[in-house]
Amino acid sequence: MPEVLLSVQSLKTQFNTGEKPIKAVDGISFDIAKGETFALVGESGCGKSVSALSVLRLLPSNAQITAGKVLYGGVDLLRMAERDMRDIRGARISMIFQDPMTSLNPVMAIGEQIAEAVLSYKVQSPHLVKKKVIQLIKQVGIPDAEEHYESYPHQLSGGMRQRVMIAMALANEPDLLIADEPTTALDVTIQAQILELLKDLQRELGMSLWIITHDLGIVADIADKVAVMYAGQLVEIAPRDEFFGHPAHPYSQRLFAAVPNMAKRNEVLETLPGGVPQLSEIFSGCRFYERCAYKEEACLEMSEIQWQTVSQQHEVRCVNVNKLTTIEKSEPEPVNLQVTAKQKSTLRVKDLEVYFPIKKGLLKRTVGQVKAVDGVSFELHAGTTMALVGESGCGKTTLGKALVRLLPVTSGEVEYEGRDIAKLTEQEFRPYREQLQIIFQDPFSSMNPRMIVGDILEEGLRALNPRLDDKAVAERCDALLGKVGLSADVRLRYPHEFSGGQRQRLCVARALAVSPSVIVCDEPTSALDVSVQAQVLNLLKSLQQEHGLSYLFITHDLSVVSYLADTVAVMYLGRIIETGTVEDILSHPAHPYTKALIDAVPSWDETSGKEVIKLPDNMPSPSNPPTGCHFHTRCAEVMSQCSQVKPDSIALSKSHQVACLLFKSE
Amino acid sequence: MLTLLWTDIAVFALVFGSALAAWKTSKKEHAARPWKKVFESKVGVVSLTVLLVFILIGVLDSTRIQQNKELASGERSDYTETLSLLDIMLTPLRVNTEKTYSEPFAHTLYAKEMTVNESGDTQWIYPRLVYGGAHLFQPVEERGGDILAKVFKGLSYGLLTWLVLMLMLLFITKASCYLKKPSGIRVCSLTLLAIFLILGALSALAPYYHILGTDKVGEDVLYQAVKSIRTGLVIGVLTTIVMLPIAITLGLMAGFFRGWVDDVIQYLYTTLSSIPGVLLIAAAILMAQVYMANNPELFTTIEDRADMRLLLLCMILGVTSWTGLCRLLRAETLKIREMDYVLSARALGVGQVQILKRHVLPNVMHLVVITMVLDFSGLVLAEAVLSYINIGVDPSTYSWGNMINTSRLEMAREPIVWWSLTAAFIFMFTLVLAANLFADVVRDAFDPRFNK
Repeated sequence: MPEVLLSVQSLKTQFNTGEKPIKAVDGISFDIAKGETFALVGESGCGKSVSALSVLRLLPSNAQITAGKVLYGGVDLLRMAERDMRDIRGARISMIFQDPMTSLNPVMAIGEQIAEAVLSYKVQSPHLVKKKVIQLIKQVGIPDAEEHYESYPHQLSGGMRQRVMIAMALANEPDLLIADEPTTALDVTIQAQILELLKDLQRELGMSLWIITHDLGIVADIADKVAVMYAGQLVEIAPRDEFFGHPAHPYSQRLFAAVPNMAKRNEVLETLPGGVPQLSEIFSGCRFYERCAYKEEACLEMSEIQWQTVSQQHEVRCVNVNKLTTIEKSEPEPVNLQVTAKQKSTLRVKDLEVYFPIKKGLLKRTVGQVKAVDGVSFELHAGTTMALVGESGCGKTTLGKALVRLLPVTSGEVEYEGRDIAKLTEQEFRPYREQLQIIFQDPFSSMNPRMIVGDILEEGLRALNPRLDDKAVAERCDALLGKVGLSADVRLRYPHEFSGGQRQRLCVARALAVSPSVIVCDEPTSALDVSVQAQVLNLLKSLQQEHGLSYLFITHDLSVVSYLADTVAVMYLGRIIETGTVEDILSHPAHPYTKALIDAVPSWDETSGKEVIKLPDNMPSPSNPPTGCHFHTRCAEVMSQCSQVKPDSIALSKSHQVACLLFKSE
Repeated sequence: MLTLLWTDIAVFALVFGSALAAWKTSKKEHAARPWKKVFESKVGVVSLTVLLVFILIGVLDSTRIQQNKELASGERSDYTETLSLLDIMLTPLRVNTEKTYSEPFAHTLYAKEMTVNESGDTQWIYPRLVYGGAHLFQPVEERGGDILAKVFKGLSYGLLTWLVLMLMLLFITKASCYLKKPSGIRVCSLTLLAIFLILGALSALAPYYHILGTDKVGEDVLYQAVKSIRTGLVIGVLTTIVMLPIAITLGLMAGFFRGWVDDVIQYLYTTLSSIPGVLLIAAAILMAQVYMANNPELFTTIEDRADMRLLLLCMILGVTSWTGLCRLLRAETLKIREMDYVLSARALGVGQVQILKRHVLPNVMHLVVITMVLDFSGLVLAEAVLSYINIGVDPSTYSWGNMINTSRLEMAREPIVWWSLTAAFIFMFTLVLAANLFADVVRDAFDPRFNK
């Protein structure tokens, strides 16, 4: 057994709001050994971040630690004087947060900000400090450290900013680094780099790492030990391989089952019934009881479920744990594969361009153009799903919005039902609004907070069929709510009364209200937890079967792509660089960018030690794209002509096309 | 005979309009829900009750009756006099004028005067007031006890009136609603009790004493302050009514349509806000004065002229004060037009006017409410400032501004005359505070995110 660095013992933290206190953390205990990576996994709202903040005593003023011990080097941090605590915080234990955009001061050069972290613990001469800062900048893998010392946060990309945050956290060579969702705000390619960096630094400095995340992929990639948190308590602690080999707690098992992948394409994803219980209620027995498939009376008999040992170092809070493994997994429910696609039209996009003019000066003269979508062509067949993948800023959302005419099209054709709808006036386009709908990413900003659900759903119906009478509209609304699995009496409620998943289902209902045949889904599940994501994906899939809908599914999550999509288009800087069936793209990627994108996804299926293609973190700006192939500045297999020739699309097979000079047309 | 001035028409139109809107809202379940929340909040009910009392006084003061003046001989003269209901109710306050300044509850004037007594000697004394404390024989000894007795009498009358009113209410509503929704109605009735007690005490004292003293020409300051309520309300509300449509329309249009519309509107408000407002107001008022002087046949009475000036002041204040709110609304609209719910409404083919009405306007309403309330107190004060350079309301109009303006000189006297300023301050403070608190409660109730 390696030496224990930090030991958390039955820690309890509660928020004193309203009548009942909210017990965000309710008796968690775990140890982090020296040099170990400990991952705390759980869905949003289960108390992960609060437990980290409790350890550092950085809680907001209405929160209170009511019980427990946090032993660091034999001293209880919770009973330490605030003055001594300051020597621990940031120096011995430091923390990095989720959003690198808001964690840095925009008016200070990054060098000064890092220097501040160095200075606050040891008074040193300016010369030494600067040397130390530059060494730190180098350490976190930022090139040209001397020049970047003077850079301001807005001059750096998201990944670079997260590196700066890590540099600040490392300034005093801490023993423990707490990373709270360190890569959630970043693209998958950047995420892979940051995880790699954390691993390297850990090896180099011998520090311990406590990662808080909701992404099982990250856990698989980096963790030594995993703890699963549910409703304020830990329910399972296990070494990584044990955990991914045999998840023991029913909740952990359900989490795995809810992750979409290729193998589950023809199944309905498993979802958890009900929701996470309110943390203000008083629990008796197992907290997962309501949602558990294996529940029985014994689960509620004792007030607190005791830890059961599965194997050495693998403990589970479940009374039935030894029986669970013998229970046969129920046969997965097959998706109804019968396609009832009515004769609906294919959406054909040809050479679509969406440019935003850059205007300058008093007379607003156009001095340049941001080529957000730069000549894109694809076909979306009726009743199928096409996934549009790419890093943020590649123009995929712009493309989606332009298709439903929320943004003006600069040039190109969008052919639907035999007409070029890109050239229609707003008035002529109106009938097509019934056919083309869009669902947005953020379920919280996509519904007017001051309108009741009924009015939100009716809005589209009334706008497009002004002659419909009230009764017909009300009936249609009830039917829609039923279709997305909500009861009809929610019509008088406001959107804020619903959870994220319910809101996203309401958004689906709103889009369905006008009976569209094509829906642009702009990352509809990326703001949701994995079990809630499964509900929305199931809903989308069943609606597709029922109504023969086609989806243009904009996403960066390849597991969702593998589950839902029929065809995939990979976009880079305004251009589609590869299209093909989901099989073509995910199993036989041709373009170097696609390969890098797929490799960057952390996963536990494959044997570890795979060679990851690292993309440099310098996505060019679409206002000034590189010449020739847009990707040549980051490509690992770059050739001399790449910077001169724009690659044409080449058919590798009947369905698979790629735009790369590595391939020659036959 | 009932007569109406222009501002009276505006006041009645507003009262009827809001009553109609309230009645319509109460029919719709989800629209009435936030208002229910307002009536459940204690602060909301108290401030609303106080506001309603102020509005009632304003309405009473706007109902004018024209009558021929009765001469001493009992005949009616040809000279007509217009009195509002409030004037008639406050007759003792209105007619009991002294010679000059007297302190609150005083029985003598504030300054010594040379008087000749019965025996023909000239004396340098504080002369007795004609009305204030005139019923007392030994004022210095009797006054304290007399005031207490009168206050007590007034309080008991107030209590009695309140009890009768409550019993009548209970009888009409058959006690059911009192028991069903206790909080709102109980708080309201308790506030009414306080108001009735104060009114009772005041009405018992007012015929015998000048409760807030008298001013330079011996007029009762309490009467002036009460009469000023209408002016304050008219300026606050009418100006807002003039300003809101301009600010909201232009602000939303600039933010929502962008492009040249935005450029034109921005240009407009930048230009307007770079001209000192006082200059514009002075120009407008002076032009109006010239117009009134050239067309004497249109404005036959002093009231007519004063009223036209008040109305004009509201208009011009409204036209000059929309820029701040417009700028705020433009910025907020710029943010909201990019929200996903606006985009999805556009994707559903909802018209632009509908989007503005349904999605943008309700989400900027909190800004409108806050600005309205903050401006309200500012406008009442602006009126005072404008009176100072003689371009405010007509000097014959009772207003807190005029009171504050005259107290400028009174404060410079030795010993100082403090009660005009104090009276204006107390009344203005009560009105503005009630309006602020009420607006606060309304804004919270209408934000669905705050509600559990």
